[in-house]
Amino acid sequence: MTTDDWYKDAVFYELHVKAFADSNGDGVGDFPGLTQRIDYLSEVGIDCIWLLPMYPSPLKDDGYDISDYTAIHPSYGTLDDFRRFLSSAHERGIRVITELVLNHTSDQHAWFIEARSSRDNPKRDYYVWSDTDDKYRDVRVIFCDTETSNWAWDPVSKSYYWHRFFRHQPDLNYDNPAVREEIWRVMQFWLAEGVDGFRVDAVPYLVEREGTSCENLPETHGVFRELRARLESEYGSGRVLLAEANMWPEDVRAYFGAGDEFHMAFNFPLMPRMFMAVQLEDRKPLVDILERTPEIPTNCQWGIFLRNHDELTLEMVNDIERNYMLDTYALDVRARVNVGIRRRLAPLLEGNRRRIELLTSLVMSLPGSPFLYYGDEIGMGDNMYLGDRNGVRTPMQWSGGFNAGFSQADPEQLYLPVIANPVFGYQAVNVAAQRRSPSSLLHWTQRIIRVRRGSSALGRGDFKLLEPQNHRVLAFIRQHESETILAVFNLAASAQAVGLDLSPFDGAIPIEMFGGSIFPRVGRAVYQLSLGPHGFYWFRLRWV
Amino acid sequence: MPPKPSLLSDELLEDLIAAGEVDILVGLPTHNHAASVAAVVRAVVSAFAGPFVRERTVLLNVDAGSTDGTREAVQSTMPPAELVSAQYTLRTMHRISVPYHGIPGRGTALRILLTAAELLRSRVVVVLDPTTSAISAQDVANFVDAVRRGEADYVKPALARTFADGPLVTQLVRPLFRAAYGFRLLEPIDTQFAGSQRFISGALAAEFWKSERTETGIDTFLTAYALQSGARLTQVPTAARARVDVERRPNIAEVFRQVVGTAIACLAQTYPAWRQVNGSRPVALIGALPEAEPPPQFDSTAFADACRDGVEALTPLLANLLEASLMQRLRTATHAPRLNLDPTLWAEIVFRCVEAAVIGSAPANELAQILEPLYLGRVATFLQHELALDAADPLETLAVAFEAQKLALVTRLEGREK
Repeated sequence: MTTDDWYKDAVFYELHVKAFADSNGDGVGDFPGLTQRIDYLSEVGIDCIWLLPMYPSPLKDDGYDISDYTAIHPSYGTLDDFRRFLSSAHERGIRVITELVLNHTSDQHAWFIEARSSRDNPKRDYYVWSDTDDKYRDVRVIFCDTETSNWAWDPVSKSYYWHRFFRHQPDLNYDNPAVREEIWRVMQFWLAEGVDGFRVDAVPYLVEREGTSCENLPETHGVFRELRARLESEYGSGRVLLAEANMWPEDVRAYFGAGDEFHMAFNFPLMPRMFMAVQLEDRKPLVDILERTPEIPTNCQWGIFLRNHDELTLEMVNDIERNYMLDTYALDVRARVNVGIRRRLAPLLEGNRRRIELLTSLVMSLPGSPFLYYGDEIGMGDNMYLGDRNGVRTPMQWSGGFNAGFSQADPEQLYLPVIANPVFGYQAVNVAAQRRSPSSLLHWTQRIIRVRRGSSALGRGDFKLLEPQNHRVLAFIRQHESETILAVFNLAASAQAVGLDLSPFDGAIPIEMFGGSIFPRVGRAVYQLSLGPHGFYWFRLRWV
Repeated sequence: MPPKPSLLSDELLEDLIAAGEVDILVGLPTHNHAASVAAVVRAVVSAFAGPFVRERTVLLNVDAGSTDGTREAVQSTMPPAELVSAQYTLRTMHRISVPYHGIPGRGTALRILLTAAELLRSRVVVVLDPTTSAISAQDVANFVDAVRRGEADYVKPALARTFADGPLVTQLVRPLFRAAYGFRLLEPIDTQFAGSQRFISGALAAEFWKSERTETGIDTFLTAYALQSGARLTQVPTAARARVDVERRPNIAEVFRQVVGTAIACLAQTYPAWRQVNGSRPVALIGALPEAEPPPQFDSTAFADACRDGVEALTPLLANLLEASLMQRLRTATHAPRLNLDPTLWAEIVFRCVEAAVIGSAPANELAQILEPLYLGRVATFLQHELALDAADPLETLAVAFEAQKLALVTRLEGREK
């Protein structure tokens, strides 16, 4: 793994410190608890932890409403606790990126408290104000379940302020150079602590202009180019900026710039289409989006994922696809929030191990670096009876014992209740049990990460789709330098036969990458394969 | 011994494997239909991308060796340009076009289509006519929905006809099928239909495929099978009619041999099933009939003359077929200044022909030949007399007459058996 573009080979693991492990018995996970569990993450085989917001916050949006950018929320520990965690991670070769929520702050942030105190306050222009709510009239409301407008009335300064998310999260004003300086100082603070980069939240929304969607504006890109340039100037090229831009691939492409903006960006539209493809038993949704995904600069990388802390977003699909996904995966309307589905991976797939493995194998081999969401490596459940997206943010299930081994606090004190149903609850699904079972999902996940690590092509390789007649089979080639990987996936619940045109690889011997089995030599004729239900193959093609 | 040639070519089998299990199969048998098939394909593709966007679909064209670019037209036809932006497909849409070899008849084509549908376990099978240029995506959807909802096993179209339209159907085939099988199906021999998986499997196993007549009369046999097999029946209104090119249109004698000869042969074969049927019942019609097209113009005077000439020429055959009193009534009717082949007389003669076929005393083709001039006289009578009477439904009188004569036939045959 090279230092500068390590993110191209890395397997990322997203977790919230409050959800991972509670060391002091207050019912909330903390950095000492996370530090105690670092060996587990090393055991899973991940390369980089993405920490969800850990900063002081009123926690009305689970920490994305930040009231102090350069401190640790007292519930999670101290800055020294964080440093100890970071050091432990680095000792094990695990990098850490943290959240940079730069589009907005909490309305409890000192900047906003000052800004609203008076129209003449020096920090007034840190935010976007207006005497009316007429400006930017046609801009969409993102949290449409709870907000009806992007403007909120501030009774203190008697004017409106702009917020693309919750009303308690006023947007910062990036037309103000002072704001950009403040954010740079925030970045410097954490970079100096040693973090390996940032996952930048809500990037499209920084700048507003009348008559536009106020998303993806050139000025917004200018902000990020400036931050990137400063980052590399001061810290070299080993720190990563990862963009959260829930946009179509061609719109996200702009955030890579000419390799001078973000190093990474999530490929949001790919995600629902993996779920769609396996339900439809048809590769078409995947092929459509992969063909639409543009080339990116060679020093850049997509981030691909199945689930995360948010709802399974259905923003980047059309109405037909959205309705299909809701009818298929969220028939119970309680599973729906905003424009998405608030369920975890295993419940979405009804605990079907083959489907879980199939989708995980896709994420591990499609172009991009995979992001695992904490708990999905053991098939944790969810609780859609909790409000907002809390149902997918419940305590990590370490054991079948008290509070799932997460905390010694009284169960009523836990920040959220543990999942306790007989199928996905902690008694049935936990790390301790799965460590003991060689055939567990945990062991399988560890294995696939190891196999993936043995290939540079899966992280860095070119990507070429094959087009077999059998639409239930997705097949593609990844190539990097002298390595060629053939990946074949059966999206159907029934066994499938498929013929592949592998004539460009005439003479190659396919070696199955998990078991090392040798398959018949590739020739000019169509190569016949059969796959079990939801089966997949990764072959390394060798010429001997 | 060399293996029997398969109904499904290797090429078709490969395409079927690629398509896999489907929910809806639309079959399109063709032979030199390039001029009209694009409109049908467009309607199908629009239906697939519209109301059936979530279903697994396949359009299967079996072609009898077209030389006019029919297959290319099937493969390349795209949805209407104004709909392209709205035509999103969730799934891979399969469009298969294959030639078939051997007897280039409709029977072979349908057997291939239905066999393919059975292999793909298609829940709904629709067979469309490549000449129905007025067909819409909604027409296709109507065919599919009745079966898809589990309400029907066999769906036939219901065409809006004026009383004078389509006399071969309204004056002969429709009342004949109604009387024999007990169902008031408006278009028993239309080339379009939809079927459930259950119906298709049963039909494929039926004996009628052994008859040579299936090559030209398969629709008759399929309907007869449906009417006697307990299949749940439904009709859907449509403006989409099969059109026959002037150049392709067979002469009346050929039409009679194919249509009427097949109908009589079919009834003869299935007599044990329909002999016990009493009366008739309506078949559900889902939706309202569209506006009827203006009726074609018939030269009823010429028809009447042809009838008289035909009766004269066929007197020896008619005398063998009809008892003396019936023969006399026929002579009286045709010799009258205004020819009057009334419903009862017509029905009686038709069922005498059916009787002859059942007992095997005359071949079906000969019986069809006998009926041809009489049919012309019947049409002339209807146009000249009965239409003008302004009755609410002049065709109902005819149907009732057919039902009465069916009973009479059964009584006679049972008498013979004793």
